[in-house]
Amino acid sequence: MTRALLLLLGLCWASAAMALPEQTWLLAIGNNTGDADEVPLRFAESDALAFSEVMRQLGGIQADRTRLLLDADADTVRRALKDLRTAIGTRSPKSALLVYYSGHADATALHLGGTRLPFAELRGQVENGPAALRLMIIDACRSGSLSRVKGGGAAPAFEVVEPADKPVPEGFAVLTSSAAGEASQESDRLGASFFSHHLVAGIRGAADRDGDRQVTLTEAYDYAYNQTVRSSGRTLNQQHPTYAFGFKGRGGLVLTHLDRPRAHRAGVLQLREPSSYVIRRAHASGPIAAEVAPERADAALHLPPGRYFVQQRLPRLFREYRVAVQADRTTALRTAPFESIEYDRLVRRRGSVSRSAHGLMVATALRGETVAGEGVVPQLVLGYRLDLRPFSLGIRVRGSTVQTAVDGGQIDHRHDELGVALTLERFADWPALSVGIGVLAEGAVGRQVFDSDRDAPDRSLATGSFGALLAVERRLGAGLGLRLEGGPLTVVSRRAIVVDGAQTGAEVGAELVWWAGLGLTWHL
Amino acid sequence: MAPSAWQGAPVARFTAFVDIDQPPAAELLEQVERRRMAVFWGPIDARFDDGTLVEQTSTTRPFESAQVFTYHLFDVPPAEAMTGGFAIGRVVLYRDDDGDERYGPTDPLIGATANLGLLYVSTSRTAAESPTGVAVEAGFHMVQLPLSRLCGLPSPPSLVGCEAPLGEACDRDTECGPGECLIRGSLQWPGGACVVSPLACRPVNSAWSALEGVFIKACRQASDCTRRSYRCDRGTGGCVPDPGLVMLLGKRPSGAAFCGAPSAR
Repeated sequence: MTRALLLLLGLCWASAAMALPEQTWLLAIGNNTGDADEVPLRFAESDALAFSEVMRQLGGIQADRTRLLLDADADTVRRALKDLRTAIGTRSPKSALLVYYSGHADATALHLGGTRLPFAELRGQVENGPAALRLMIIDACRSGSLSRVKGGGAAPAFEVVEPADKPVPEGFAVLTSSAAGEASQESDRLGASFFSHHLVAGIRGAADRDGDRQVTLTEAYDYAYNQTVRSSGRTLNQQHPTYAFGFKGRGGLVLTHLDRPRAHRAGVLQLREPSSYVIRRAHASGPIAAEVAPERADAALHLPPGRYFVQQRLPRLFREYRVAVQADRTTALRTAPFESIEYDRLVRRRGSVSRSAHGLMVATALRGETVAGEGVVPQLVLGYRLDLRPFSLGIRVRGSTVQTAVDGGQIDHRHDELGVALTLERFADWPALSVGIGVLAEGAVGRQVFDSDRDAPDRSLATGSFGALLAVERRLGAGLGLRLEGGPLTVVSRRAIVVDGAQTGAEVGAELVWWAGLGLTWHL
Repeated sequence: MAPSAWQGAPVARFTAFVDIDQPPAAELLEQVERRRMAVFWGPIDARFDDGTLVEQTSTTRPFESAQVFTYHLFDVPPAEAMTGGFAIGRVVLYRDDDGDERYGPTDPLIGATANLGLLYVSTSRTAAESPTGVAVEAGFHMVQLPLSRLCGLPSPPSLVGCEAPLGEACDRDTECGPGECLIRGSLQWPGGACVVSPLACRPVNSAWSALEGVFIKACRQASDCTRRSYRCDRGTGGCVPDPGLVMLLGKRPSGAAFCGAPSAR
């Protein structure tokens, strides 16, 4: 049934594609406000604005043939439709009408600021209008009822050769953001609705599957469908865009020409190999300009000039670029510098599918005096760490030996110690460094061996320690890193009470010491 | 764990008291931070000023002004101080003028234990084998000075024997039969103790105290001296007061280290 509701009459498979007619009119409607009992949308009006802009920039629709209605009521939309029908006049093979809507709706009508415009009326106005080519794009809940498609699949490459005496496109088509009965969702992260965002990104170039510098309606729908299903699949309500194509003509219907003289001076961002790309304005925390997943290498995306942060998401690493897109110029990621995000930093990076990473560490450290008279003690630490998204778990083995040579009647001795510790850290990543804050808990066994002819038997004991941990790591490349760590440590142990050189008793005490270490990490 | 200050299990432990001679010598009051004390060992005829005393450096420690302190010994006397398997020593106080934390020829002596010394024997001895003529166990012992036998002091005259309540508490001489009640001589005798002058007679079960010049109650072991504050002295073989080591400060030690005249208090 995925293809049962197909209404496509065919597009010629000849190489020449059909462009939008010279006189193409666009009515873009965006309403954040629906019925009184509906939660206002956040991005419907900006969606309409974005669609109208991209169609003017790359679709060639002139500004005086573009009507943008934001937060309009049903009567206003009716008047606009009437005005457009009048402006288009009698049916002309060189005319087209695009109607785009983003806002609230139900299975039967658009919800326009407390008023309603029935689907049947809207469809009738457009389908029966004077323009030769009529296209409706509806981004609203349960809009699939407009295409009378209850669940659709991606548009197939179904083509029918039509007689050559119909060289220009004509007919009626509908694209909807979801199937009948499905909700259409907005994404705070994208700053738009799922469907409109991917449709606009596709029209900007991400959908140019065959690399011919043109984005056809079929390509745009295919791209928007796949990306909408993927994006909405992460939510509780997956949505499936639908279509009903009733065109006649030759070749695919081209919505945008990516090589069109750029009256509006867009720039081109040329991507790299097929993968997921998140493109943000200005910096890494800026609003998402586009989230695309082109199917071919070196896909070109048309963007307004400006600075962008581009994150290319590959399975085992992210590449992050900071580029400037200039008007009428192409910026290629292949030649742009980038930062690789791998291993543990990739695990922690938002949007990564990598769930864990692990690695080894070897370090030397110094620990403050825990036994009076021994001074600062050097340590050797070997560790293993498992990096998860919210935190990192580590286990480490610490060893130390200190030889104390004393005089004045005291005894030379050697103190050996072996400890096992668990660490729990939480990291924050910056371009140059990763900083971790955490806690450490350790159990250790130690032994004192006295070098003397006196009655001074060897001593053994166990200690427990706990404390805070602060670490700074810097990548060196090839999975290696440099780690500086340290912190305060409370050491609990049983200690001899010594008066005038002789032990008079013992006590369990806690000693606060500081420690610091420098080591190498190796991510596996 | 033991800190670096730990010196091992003590082989001997003594309580010491500080007594300051009046008026104190100038050296005692100057540069007090340089005051150090240690156990010095030597031959029986050693003198304070002839360099024959050997400092046991493991016992060297700063001298603090505490009235009472515990002195721990962690080692046996140095080999060069041993003679015939025993050694005699005293705790001596000096001022470390040269700052080397050791006694040297330029460091003035400013005190010593009064009338008491340390006897170390490496093996247990019978009375016949003992350097003091009194049976003694291996180890350290506090002994009254001077040691009659080792110092070659004249023996008390051999007089007729007599019975006397030697060592019994007393207030007056009449309580002691042929003897007398000794309350304070060179030592303080707590609660008084019956003793017998050599001019009177020689009591049975008696020992000679060269320090006091009288016969005192004899003992072979610690349990023979039942009175509180009295101990069995392995030097004299008699029950003597047990004030511990008394550090007599302020008077520059001089003359014979172990065989000199009793120190006046």
